[in-house]
Amino acid sequence: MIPFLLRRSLHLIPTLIGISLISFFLMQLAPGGPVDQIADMNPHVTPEAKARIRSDLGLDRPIPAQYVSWVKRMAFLDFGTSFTDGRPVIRKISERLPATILLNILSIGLMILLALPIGWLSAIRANSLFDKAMTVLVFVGFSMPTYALALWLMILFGLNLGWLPISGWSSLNFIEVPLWRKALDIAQHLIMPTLVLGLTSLAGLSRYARNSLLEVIHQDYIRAARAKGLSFRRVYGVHAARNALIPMVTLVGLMLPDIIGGGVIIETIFAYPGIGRLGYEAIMTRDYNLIMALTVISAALTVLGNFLADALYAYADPRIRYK
Amino acid sequence: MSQTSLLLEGRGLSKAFPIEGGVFRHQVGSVQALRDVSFRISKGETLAVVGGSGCGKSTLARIISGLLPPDAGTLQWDGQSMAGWRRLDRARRIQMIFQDPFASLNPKLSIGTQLREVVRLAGATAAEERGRCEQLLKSVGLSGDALSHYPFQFSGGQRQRIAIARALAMKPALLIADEPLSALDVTIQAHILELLKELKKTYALTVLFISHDLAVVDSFADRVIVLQNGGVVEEGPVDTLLSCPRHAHTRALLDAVPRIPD
Ligand SMILES: Nc1ncnc2c1ncn2[C@@H]1O[C@H](COP(=O)(O)OP(=O)(O)OP(=O)(O)O)[C@@H](O)[C@H]1O
Ligand SMILES: [Mg+2]
Repeated sequence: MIPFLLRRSLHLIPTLIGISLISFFLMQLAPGGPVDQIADMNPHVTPEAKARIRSDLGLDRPIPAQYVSWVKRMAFLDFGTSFTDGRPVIRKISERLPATILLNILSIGLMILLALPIGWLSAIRANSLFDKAMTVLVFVGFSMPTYALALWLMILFGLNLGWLPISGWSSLNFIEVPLWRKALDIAQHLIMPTLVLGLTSLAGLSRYARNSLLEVIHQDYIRAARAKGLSFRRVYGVHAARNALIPMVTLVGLMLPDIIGGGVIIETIFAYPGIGRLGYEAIMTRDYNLIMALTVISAALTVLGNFLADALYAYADPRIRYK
Repeated sequence: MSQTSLLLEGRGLSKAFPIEGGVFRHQVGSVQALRDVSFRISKGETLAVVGGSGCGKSTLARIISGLLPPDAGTLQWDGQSMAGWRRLDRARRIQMIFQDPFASLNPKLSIGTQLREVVRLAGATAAEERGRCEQLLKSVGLSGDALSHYPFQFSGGQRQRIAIARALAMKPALLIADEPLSALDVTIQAHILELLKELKKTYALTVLFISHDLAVVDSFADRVIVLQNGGVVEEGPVDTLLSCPRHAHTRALLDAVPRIPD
């Protein structure tokens, strides 16, 4: 197990280098730069002033040199300051992080809570009415654009019924109210974004759960477990789960990077103060440092998610665990 | 065989599987895997079920061991209907060995876990568990060290021994062996067959032995039923059936096997 993990973590190094190279140079290729952004806004900026800003920001140096100094700073988590308001990038990100993490924990939790039972019941009752109905429902959720579902929910619960707030993650009087009201307030704001993210991402995991269990329950070792006289719970909860559940946990590990990228649309629609919207704003204003920081974090999460998925898979596989 | 020694009798067993197709996976037809199969097994005898691939042998085995409900037909154990039997009632009397020992052991659980759970069901106390598992392994020619190991650490022959030990843990009266040799190397086949013969004697087992190897059937079974397309086409004592087969299908099966005269 330990040698496997060590070997696996060595793979991380070239992956990280590759990601850093690609994201840095893609950024160079993208049209428009931070200086154009500032200059476009203000017709009085002369070419000389533009050049001075460029050199202040270090953008006039050769690109490989820029890459090396950027990687050095990244290694120490020094993401620089935002071009739009001069505040440290790391501060801007950490302000937005709690909202995003909360939303993701809830929506991923909701997804798992729904997907596993749906997938498993569908497999155990394969091709039953329940299975077919769930197939249809889950694919409706999958094909529905997140913004459409978000807007419908907003119209229904926000406007027509007036039950739920439709934007932000806290009300205007947030600072004045006692703690329990604060928690309630945030909870109310979270319901709709959580529902939208959870329901639209249900399809993959529930289908995966169904198919992986279906595959497992037709194996001879499950027949053998049943023939042994074991209880239903032992057969499905231990014999089948050991084999069918583990690949699913790894699937969840691979969703980790979605925390940043997946929320862009939903956070923008609900004016939710999370990382996704921050990234969207950063791109619209060509805020290099901020974009690069988010790219790096997103890449790191991808790599980390992959690594965790592999480690878990290895742990569940006796062939690797006992080598 | 006298009437009183009858252990298991199947009457008119039938089973069809749906064939599904189309976008919404609706039924487009069905395979008749078993049609009106009747058989009798007396206590202590070995009944062989032979037939070509897909003739319904495994389906019959699964129905008897309760893994599949039949569409029609009845099973009688010692003169009593098995209709109301629960999983455990059946497991205490009927156990099964599968064809592919690489598929029939759970790859994610240790041999100890897989044996202990049956031993416990069979009524062993926590203190007896380990000793009972070791004894089972010993009876199939393996050491107790196997308990802490996982299936991937064993060869095909060893796995089949473990599967046999697992089946014996319930102290069944009837052992169903569904082509237990055909996934193994020829030399290993001989060892496992010897083991089965020996265990049959020590545990006074009644055996339902599914095979397409008539040489093996000849040396192991007392009586044979021949299946074709889900139906019984011939039945009889092994000597008469193999020396003068009446049905064309039995002759075809015999011709397909290179037999060494003894
Ligand atoms: N679960 C199932 N669903 C659909 N069809 C099945 C199923 N199980 C068996 N069949 C079909 O029923 C028929 C009999 O299958 P069975 O496995 O009993 O044959 P067999 O005699 O054991 O064959 P083999 O020698 O290949 O093991 C085959 O045509 C098979 O395709
Ligand atoms: Mg078969």
